[in-house]
Amino acid sequence: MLKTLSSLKLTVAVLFTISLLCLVGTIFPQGGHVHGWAARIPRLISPYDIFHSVWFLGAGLLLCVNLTLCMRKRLSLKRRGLIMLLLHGSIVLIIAGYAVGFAGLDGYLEIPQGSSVSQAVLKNGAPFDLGFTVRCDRFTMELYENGMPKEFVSDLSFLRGGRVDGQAQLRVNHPARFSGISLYQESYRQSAWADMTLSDGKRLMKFKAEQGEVIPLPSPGIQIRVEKVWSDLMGAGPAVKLLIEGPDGGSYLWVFRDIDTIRARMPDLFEKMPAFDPSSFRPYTFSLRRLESSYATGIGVKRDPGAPLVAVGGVLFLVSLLLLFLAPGAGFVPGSGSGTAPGESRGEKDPAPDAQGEGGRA
Amino acid sequence: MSSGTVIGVVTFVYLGAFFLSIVGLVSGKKEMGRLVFWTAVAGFAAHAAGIFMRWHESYALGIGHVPLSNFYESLVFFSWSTVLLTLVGVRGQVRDVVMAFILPAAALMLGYASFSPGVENAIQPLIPALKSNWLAIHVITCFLGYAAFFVASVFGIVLLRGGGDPSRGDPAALMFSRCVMIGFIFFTVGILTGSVWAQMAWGRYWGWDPKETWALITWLIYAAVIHERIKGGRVTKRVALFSLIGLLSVLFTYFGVNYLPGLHSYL
Repeated sequence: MLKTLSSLKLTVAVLFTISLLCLVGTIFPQGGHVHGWAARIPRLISPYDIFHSVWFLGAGLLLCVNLTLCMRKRLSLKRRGLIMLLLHGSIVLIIAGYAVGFAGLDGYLEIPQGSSVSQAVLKNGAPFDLGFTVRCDRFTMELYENGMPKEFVSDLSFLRGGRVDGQAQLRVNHPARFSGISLYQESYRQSAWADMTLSDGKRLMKFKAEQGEVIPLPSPGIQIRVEKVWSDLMGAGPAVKLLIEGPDGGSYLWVFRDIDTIRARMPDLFEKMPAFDPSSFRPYTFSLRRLESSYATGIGVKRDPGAPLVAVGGVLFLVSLLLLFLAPGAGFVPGSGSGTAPGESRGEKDPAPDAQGEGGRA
Repeated sequence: MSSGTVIGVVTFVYLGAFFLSIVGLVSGKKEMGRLVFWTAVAGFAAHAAGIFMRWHESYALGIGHVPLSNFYESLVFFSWSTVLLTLVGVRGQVRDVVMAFILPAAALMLGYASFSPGVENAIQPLIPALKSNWLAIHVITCFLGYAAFFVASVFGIVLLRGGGDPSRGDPAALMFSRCVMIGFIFFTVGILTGSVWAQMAWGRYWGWDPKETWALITWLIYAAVIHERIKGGRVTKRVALFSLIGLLSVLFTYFGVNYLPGLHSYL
């Protein structure tokens, strides 16, 4: 049993098993909400959460056991054995560090420009008290000439007891740290609303249109739903897409602020696109007066107590991998610096005792 | 002359060298090997010049950055890396055979990059996520790793027939082992630098993004190749076969993942 558990055969088998499980993880969408029959699979064995499933954890554990037993075997050896110990020990360190990370913090903040937030939202939707308040003083989005995003910048203030205790400028690839928590520029949201008016020829009604809002019309049984608000729709200026819902179904209407200018360029616009005519839904005429928009910055808040372990593991692995590669007798570097031809590698004279014929002995 | 033209010409130089190598292999003329080698060296030098010219061109556009930021640039660099490793690392008679595999592959990658309508070859500015000092080192090490695995699989094909023993002076087996190991080292550095960058950009060094997961799959398969090779000392048929599975995984990590949703959609 111990022989099997420490064999190279098992190592190769486990490496392929983990590969297969990873492959499953890229075919099935991970970590999201699942519906239908998939929702009935217990999470612990679900292919939709493979990296937290018993399959994956089991394979990882088996790898650790295999690695540890192999390392124990190598303790008796000298320099090369030490390198091997380091090489495989660092993998165990990385896996351990990853596991420690589960105890960390992984949340999200959305702060409208000028506002403050002191609670993050965790991955599972639960709130988390940061222990301080973050205020977004300014969010800026810089664009290249061709319209591609160049930089997202959040100017933040950290407050404690109502007093500013620190400030930071957050950019993508330039995180900030406050009170043991790291903050990352992750995303942004632009919210826009339009001041609109509605006239039926006699009365003028004012309303504010923000995406998702539903506004009842004076006529019974009819309401308008604001589908989308654009600060600039395809270069034609501010626009709003409305869905007018009545008892006999719905129809869409696009309302442009600069409709007169657009029509001056395309006189037959309303014939071609009746849904662009603000008076097409009789007896009403819609108009878009003014558009206002504001940004909210999206910030990732993280704390990973396992990260230092993983970092140390990564460095140790790389160092020992290089040492192993350059070590004499490894069979990778011909002559190991002694100037012999590839065919006469030291492996021939000194057939790497700890590397050869191991499968049988294990 | 633009870098695009140079890269286009290099494609045909590699194809010409490939043609010469086939003539050499069929006719059995050993002298041909030298001609193939030096033609490939000329193509390689022009290839390097093309990459530097594109770098320079990006500065002329006022958006200067290393030409390693989109699919076109990565294809050009991947092709360059495979030729580099072959020219530098493969010696002896076996080189003539390896050239006959690598040159058409290098030309194919360049041709696909230059002439496929699906590959955007304009120089674009960097989006915020790519504006990092880790970009160059991450991409260079990953692609050198891919290239070494690619060259290893050529030896793998050769070794599929009967295997070979590196300690008995079998050059194909020795070079196979070295290529796998060099690829493994580079690819490990690629994954490590990628995770440092991910930690800087997103606050998580590992997120099971499809590209990350497939990189891990590739890494695990080559770890299996190395362990299977160490098990008996020999490069057995099975080891060679594993390395070809590894190559499929490399290709999927590079090309296939783009069809899955993820954060690496730009490369």
